[in-house]
Amino acid sequence: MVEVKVGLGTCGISAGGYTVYDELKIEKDKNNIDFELKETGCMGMCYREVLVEINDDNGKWLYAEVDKAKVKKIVEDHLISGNPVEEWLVKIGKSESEDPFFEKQKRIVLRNCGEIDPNSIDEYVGMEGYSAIQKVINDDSPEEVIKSITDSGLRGRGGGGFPTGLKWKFTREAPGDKKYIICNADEGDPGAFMDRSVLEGDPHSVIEGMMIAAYAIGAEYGYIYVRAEYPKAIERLRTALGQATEKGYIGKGIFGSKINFDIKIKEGAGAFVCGEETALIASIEGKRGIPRVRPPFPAVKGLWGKPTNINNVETLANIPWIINNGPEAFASMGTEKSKGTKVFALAGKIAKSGLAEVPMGMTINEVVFEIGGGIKGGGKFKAVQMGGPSGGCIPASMGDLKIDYDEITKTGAIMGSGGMVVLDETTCMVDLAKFFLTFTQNESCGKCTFCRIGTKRMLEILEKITLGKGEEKDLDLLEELSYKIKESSLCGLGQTAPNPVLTTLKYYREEYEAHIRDKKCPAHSCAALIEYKVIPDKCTGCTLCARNCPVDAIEGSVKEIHWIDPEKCIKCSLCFQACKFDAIEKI
Amino acid sequence: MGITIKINNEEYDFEIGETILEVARRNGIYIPTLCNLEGTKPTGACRICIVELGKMSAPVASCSTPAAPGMDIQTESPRIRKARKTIIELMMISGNHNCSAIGNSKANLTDFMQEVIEYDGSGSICTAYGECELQSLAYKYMVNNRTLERIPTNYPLENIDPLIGRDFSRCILCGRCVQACTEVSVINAISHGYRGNVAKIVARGDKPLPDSECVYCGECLQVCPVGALYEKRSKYDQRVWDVTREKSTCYYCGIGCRIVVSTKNNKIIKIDGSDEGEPNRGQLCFKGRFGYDFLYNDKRLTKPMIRSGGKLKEASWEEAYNIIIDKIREISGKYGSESIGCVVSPKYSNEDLFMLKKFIEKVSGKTNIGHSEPYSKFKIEYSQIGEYEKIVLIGTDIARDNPVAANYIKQANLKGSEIIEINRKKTDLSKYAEIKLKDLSEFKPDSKINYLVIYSPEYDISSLEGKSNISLNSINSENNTAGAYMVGIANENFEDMKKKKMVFSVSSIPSNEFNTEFLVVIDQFGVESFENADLILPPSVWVENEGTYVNSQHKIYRMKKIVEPPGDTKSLRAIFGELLNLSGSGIKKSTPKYIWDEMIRKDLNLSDDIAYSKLKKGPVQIVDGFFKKISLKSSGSKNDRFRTHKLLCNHCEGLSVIAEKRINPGE
Repeated sequence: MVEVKVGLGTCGISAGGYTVYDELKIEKDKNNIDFELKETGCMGMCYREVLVEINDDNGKWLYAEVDKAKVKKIVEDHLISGNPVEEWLVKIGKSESEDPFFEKQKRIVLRNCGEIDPNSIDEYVGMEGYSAIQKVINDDSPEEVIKSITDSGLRGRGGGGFPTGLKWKFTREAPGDKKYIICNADEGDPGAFMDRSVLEGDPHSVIEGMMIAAYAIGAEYGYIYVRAEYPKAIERLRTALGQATEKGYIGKGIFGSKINFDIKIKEGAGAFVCGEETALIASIEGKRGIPRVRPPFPAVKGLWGKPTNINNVETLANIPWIINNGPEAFASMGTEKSKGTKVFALAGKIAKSGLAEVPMGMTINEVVFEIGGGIKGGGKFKAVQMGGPSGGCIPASMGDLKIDYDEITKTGAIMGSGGMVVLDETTCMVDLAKFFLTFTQNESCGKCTFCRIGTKRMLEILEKITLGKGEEKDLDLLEELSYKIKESSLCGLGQTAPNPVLTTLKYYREEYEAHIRDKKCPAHSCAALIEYKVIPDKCTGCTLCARNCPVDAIEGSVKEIHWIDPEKCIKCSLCFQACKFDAIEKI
Repeated sequence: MGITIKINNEEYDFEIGETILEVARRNGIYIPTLCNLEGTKPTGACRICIVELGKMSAPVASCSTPAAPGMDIQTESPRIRKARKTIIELMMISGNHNCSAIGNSKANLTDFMQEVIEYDGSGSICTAYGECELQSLAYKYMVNNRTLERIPTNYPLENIDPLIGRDFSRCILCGRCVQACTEVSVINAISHGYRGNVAKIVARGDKPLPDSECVYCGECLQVCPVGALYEKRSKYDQRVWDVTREKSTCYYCGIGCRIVVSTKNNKIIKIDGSDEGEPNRGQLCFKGRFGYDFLYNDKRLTKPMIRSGGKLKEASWEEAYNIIIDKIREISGKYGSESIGCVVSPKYSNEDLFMLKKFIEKVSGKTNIGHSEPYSKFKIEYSQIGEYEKIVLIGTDIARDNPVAANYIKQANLKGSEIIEINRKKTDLSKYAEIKLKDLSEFKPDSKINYLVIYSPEYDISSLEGKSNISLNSINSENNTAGAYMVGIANENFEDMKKKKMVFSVSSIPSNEFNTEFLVVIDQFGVESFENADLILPPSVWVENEGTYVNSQHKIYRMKKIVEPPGDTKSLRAIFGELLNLSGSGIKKSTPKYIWDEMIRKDLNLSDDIAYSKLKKGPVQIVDGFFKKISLKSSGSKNDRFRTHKLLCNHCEGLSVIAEKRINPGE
């Protein structure tokens, strides 16, 4: 039967996915057509939501930017008359030619996202779901499972890149009768939405991954720590857990064995620091989410004082695939020390923002240009910011860098959990550093001195610089504070908080210096350091700018060249945006 | 040779589990700390204790990093000193650390001081000046606060609490107070609140302290390394160079906590727990810490009062003594000498009580003296409470009667000891109890488990006696009850004594409860509670006198005189020494040394090992044989104890504040 799937991840929903879904249902009933209308998760092409896929005898047809108005035509032409509406298609039936956005990707983690209905356990089972857990229970000892994961070369996808097999081994070997597995779904980096998409699109793969991990380490209880800001993910997780419980996949004596396993969902209140393992544990225990000292490590003394293994959503979603396809298959992808694939949330000034899963070892340029389609509006690629507030900038000149944990770390950035913010020439690097530092400063738990006061001081210096009040010695002070904060903060948040500052200082020191010495912002972004001017040659005297100016700073009458009074101008940029002749420039 | 680490190029042995800081401290190597609070779990918050593990690796916090074989540690390398300077400077520039104002070229001094004046209304240099741990570190590491801009504080001064001032502008968020509140007194009244740069130590819901669960143990005050928490009553009396500090023992319950008394101009301005070890290991409760200012109450009597024309009027000691001697003669003549009796509350020293007893024996011909406290003994060290898996609390509201013992119990509970409570009433420890029983008969101990029983001395626990797996312990509510038993004053004739024709009442029993012809009251306060008294004598008490005391563990402590007694007050031993002489006994001296060595020790056959001069070195355990063990479980006693405390509360600002909120001692 013909299937019609609507992408209903948070991206699709916010673009109006449910309206499209409802409209399709109305059309279906009205025309009495026999097709199966289904929900599915994020298909990746977030920049072209709402996405509707029609799956018929001629293959998969993917429609982009569908709205209520387009539904009628798609139903009538394609579903009734069998004539696909070609101008709206991004994927054409059985045709080999795919949108390059998909072509370069290798979907392991996202294997079911946008394919199956996340609310249906049967569809997941139909995609080899829950076969990996049965396989390990029937055939493998926990040690063998750990060996498979170790052999696969899988490393923690939350950002740290710690070998997953080794982590499991530590927890397995830690003495204790009761152990816990926690899924860290507290995705908090600005611009990151990989984990949310996986949970919304394929919750069972995470649950199955947890079950395998639990079996390997010897845990009977699992927690999914997910931020309350992800209501759809929580809803689908609850549905999935309910279905798995009903089927007897989780609970007592799973799959006919003597093994028990249960999962609880713990909603976090969205504190960034709760992504840190010890803070996360404290939060589950009902305490204030602040990191504690280690050792003891969670693998030895974690939740409720018991050995605990914490893995990120993406890491866990890889697990069933590795068991089903063998560690060799996984290890065959990627570089020497970074195996498999990585999901990236492409955001920023990129043409095609969305979710992309690429094999390790692909270069940054390939991701940005071949998958992401380059810079939006044809601007010049300046840098990528990887790893969110803990990460750093990698300049365009290093675009041939391979995506590999260790290669990226060498630049001063980190792989991170997969946020990739693409920047063009209009981004001021000082301002960017300030943005991320504002974030960490707000999200610091306030416990240790360096992170609480040190980042605040750094932020103040950055503010000074962006206001044009910076002094030459501020850069040394920034660097000195950065290194001390990195070295001596209590937890990962503080230890990585200076990274955005350090990498921008490393690659774009001249931009900082321009702010300080010349009182200029080379990206024309820092309001205090730019001036708006009318280009006389281009000005037609249309008065639009003057009419838009909220402070009457623009003088000039009809058909005369206008002039902006720098004394009055508040640099709100409204004239710049209003001018239809590009006659206003920022200098 | 065991496993070793290298600190500053020297090798040191260590045991698995020891932190770098512990190894260093054990070997006299200085590593600065701020957030570290001994006896609690390290939090690693302040980072000042970082040490270098080698040029290539990041520094580690020595308070929370376990020593590991082969570590090569530098505690004062240039890199570490530089990092410490930054930490100190980061702290010094946040808030109103005006001790450093002059050294701070970045801040405009006048503006800064103006801000401080606006903040705390005084503009005075920080109350902790001179004893501030942050200030000392700034001095030691030569921090000049010149690199960074000062940031003003986020939160206003909390000045509404009568006892504890909270100055957030001086808080460095080391979190020691939180550690003390959660792991020492286990009250959990305060915690970290908010995040990042606006982090704050908050009581629940960020309410002011008086509206919180705070029980005023004041543990937080004692551990605050800076001027963020201070005792309000002595805010600007605390300059370290003006203050004299002496060790002593608490005035309140039978634990006999060791205290450090700070005095200025012959007046107590602050009391802290002494960290010399047992019994309290630095801890104190609300009574011990704040309940000292009854000494300075306006209503305190400083002259004898005699009834004349129906009213109590001031008189001289001589007049008072003459009346007493006359009355004794008169009443003995009329009813026989045994109609003279005495009730006493065991809050006085052994020497005081002994002279009182001697006098009563002399004039009544019998031991016509009684108190209302049951005999009790705490057999183990309080710090051993945590060694028991099961702690059974029988009939005691220990968190109110002996709060420091309750601390130990809660600490044990945190580390896994199970609490079984046998009590008809709900107590402050009920919420910690795993098992709650109404009656002792419901308690079925397992013979294979060792139990620590702590019972109210009034409770009949005879059914548990003689079992080798059950350790039975109790604590008195009055500080020298054991001393009273030792010198031969028990509780069996207490009720009878109240009915004698002439009574000496050295207690807080209201005068209308006596049915006497002549009532002599000896008490610091009086006129209101003792309006029927015929004569009131004003005693000097506690740290106003030298003397010996015995706590509920039956350890004897010698206490110094720390402040001069007010007005014409006299110690009990002096009063009754003089009265004895007036009645014809030749008492040569009434100094504590003489009474202890020549009278008490001879009377009780106590060996030279506990000579007065030897007690100076520290406490001595007394064996059971010396106690007159006649003890009635009940003698209507509870009333008297609570009255004593209530009377104190009424005359003690420190306690009345808390009493309203908490102890309600009249119940």
